This record gives sequence, C-alpha cells and structure tokens, in this order.
Amino acid sequence: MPASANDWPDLLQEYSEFCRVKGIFKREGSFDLSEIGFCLPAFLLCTKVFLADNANAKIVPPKDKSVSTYFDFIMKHPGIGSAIKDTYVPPAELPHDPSQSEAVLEKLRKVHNDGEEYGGQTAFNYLMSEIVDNIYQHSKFCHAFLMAQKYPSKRFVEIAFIDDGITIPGSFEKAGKTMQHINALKAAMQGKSTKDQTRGYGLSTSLKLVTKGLNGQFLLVSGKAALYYKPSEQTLYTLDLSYELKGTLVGLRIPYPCPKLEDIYEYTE
Amino acid sequence: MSTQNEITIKLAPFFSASHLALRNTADMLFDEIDRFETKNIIIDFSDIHTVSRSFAHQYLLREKKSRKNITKTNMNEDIKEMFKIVASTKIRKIDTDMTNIKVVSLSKSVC
Repeated sequence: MPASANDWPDLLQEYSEFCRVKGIFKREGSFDLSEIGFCLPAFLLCTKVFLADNANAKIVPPKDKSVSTYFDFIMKHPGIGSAIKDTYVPPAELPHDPSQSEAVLEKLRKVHNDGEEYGGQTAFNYLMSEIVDNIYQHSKFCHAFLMAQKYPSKRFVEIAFIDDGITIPGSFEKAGKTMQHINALKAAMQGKSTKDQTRGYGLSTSLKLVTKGLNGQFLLVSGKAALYYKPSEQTLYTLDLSYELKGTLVGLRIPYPCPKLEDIYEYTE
Repeated sequence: MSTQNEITIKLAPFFSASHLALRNTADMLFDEIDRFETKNIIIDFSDIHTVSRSFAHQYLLREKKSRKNITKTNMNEDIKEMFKIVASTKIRKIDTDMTNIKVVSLSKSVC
C-alpha cells in the first residue's frame, strides 16, 4: 500500500530527498541541488557516495549560499582529522584496508569528545564499532563513509553510515540464502548471520541500544528495502526502483544532549 | 615488558587506539601473537576504554584456536563485561519484535 510522503519519518524523508535529486540526475543529467534546504548527514553521505561513483556529474549547487558553502565543505573536505571550520565536522571515509580503520575511528571519536554528549563513550563506541565492523565484514564496498553532527537548537545528533557495497540482501544471497529484500532486513535484525550462528548480533543490538537505551530513531536502507524503528513506531518499506539503494545506509537520531547510558549491556546481550 | 618466558603486548600503543572496534583488529593481534615462539603471552588492556562485541567475539574465537597460553590483564569493568557477555552468549536469536511490524510500499508515484 503506498504511503503519503507527508507521513514519512524525518530520517526517511531525508533519504527520499536524495532519491528525488538522483531521479532528476537520471532524467536530465545534472545533480540539481538548487531546491535543497538544510543538509543532514544521511542525505549528505548518500550524495557523497553517489558523486564518488559518478565523478563527472554536473552539480547545480543549492540556491541558499550558506547551504551551498556547507555542502561544498562536506563534499570536498579531505576528511576527519584535518582542520575543521567552526562546528562543521566532515565525514570520515573508511579505508579499504581495515588495519587502517581504527586510526580513522579514533580521530572521529576525538572530534566528538568520545560521544560524551551522545549517551556516553561506551554507547557511542558500541554503535560506531558494530556498524563499521558490519561494513567491513559484509559489504565489499568501494566507498564507505560515516558522519556525526549535532544540532543543539534542534536537540538531536544525527549519525550516519553508508557504503556502496553488495547490500544486506546481497550478502544473504552470496551466502546462498536468496530472499525478498524486506525478509533479508528482517533476518538481519533478528540476528541471523551469513557467517555462523554465534554471530549476527551487531545490527540488532545497535537498534535496541539506539531505540530503547537512548530513545532514538533508527533507519536502515539496503537494496529494495528499508526499516524505520523508534519506540512508538516500526515500519518496513519495500522500495521501487526510484528508492532502491545500491548499498546500505544506517541513519541514527539520538536526542541531544543525551545523558550517559550507564549500562549498555542490558541492550547488547 | 617481557621476560624470556613470556611476552606482554600492550594494546593501546600497539594499535594507537583507546577503543578496539573491529574483528580484523583481533585477527591482527593474533597474527602477531602467532609470530612469537614464546608460548606465554600477556595481553595488556591498559588505556583501552572499550572493546566492541565483534572484537571480543573474534578475540575469543582466535584464543580458542591458539596454541599459546594467553592471559588478559588490566581490563576495566566495561571490557570485562563485554567479554563476559560474548563468552556466555548462547546461540539464540535477538528479540527484535518484527511480528506485527507494518509493511509499506514506497514508489515514485507517491512523491
């Protein structure tokens, strides 16, 4: 049953805005950002990966000068660890060689004060670690990015992860378990692993930690399916070609500031 | 510090990190451990604040297969708890409630 765009959760609307701009590119050959307003991490990372895979795309910048400046900074910045302008925090690109990634994560942690305002360092690092490890274990990415940005006046922090890899359904298919894309997301969230039975806890425990522990929101988009989860609302989405993601996006929104979660283990067992 | 009969690996300077996130990191550690002829290895978690579930799980998998005597030291309470949880996890599925979740179709016609 189709859903009205006005009913979509904010995180999903962010993703749908990216799909709208991508659709224009497919029809008209230019990545038209002229009508884009405020840019948030999920939208920015989808765009960053898309432009990494379409390096010659003609870009029409946002009309709003401050949005255009911010967009330019995010797209062109060499990455976390370099000089940061004001409160702009650039995305971190994950190196292909996982042996170099702990150093990248360490820089991101330092910039965000080890997540002290995002539920505490144990919660923050759990989320960063488990989602990034999934990218390395399953995705076979060409490009992968993560980004966190706090919005004090809006009272939330958004953390996003994206890769352009084989998707969660693709990972199951590779393991010999072909299924509908929404069933693949369901399976992943219920702890089914493509590797062995003692694994498969990272994504599902991360969802539990974000939504129950930190009272946040969780969006997962992979292939032709998406999942939106918050304590009062859970929805699976089947996506047509215009919304399909050739990769995996995880978007988290956590209230800001978020007090330290003293015991994350209630959500990670 | 190491003696003739044992080697100590301090993880924080070894990985230049205060949090250990990835399965690959545990693999790198045990690949290093396997290089030593010494049988007794001490893994020093001083200045490591957290380890991920994935790291802890891979660590335990590799430790089980290793022929070395491996001891962990200087773990803080968070790290001890993570290893405890991973070591005691039975093969079960997570209780993410998806049974009554609604399914909605998103298509271009709705934009």
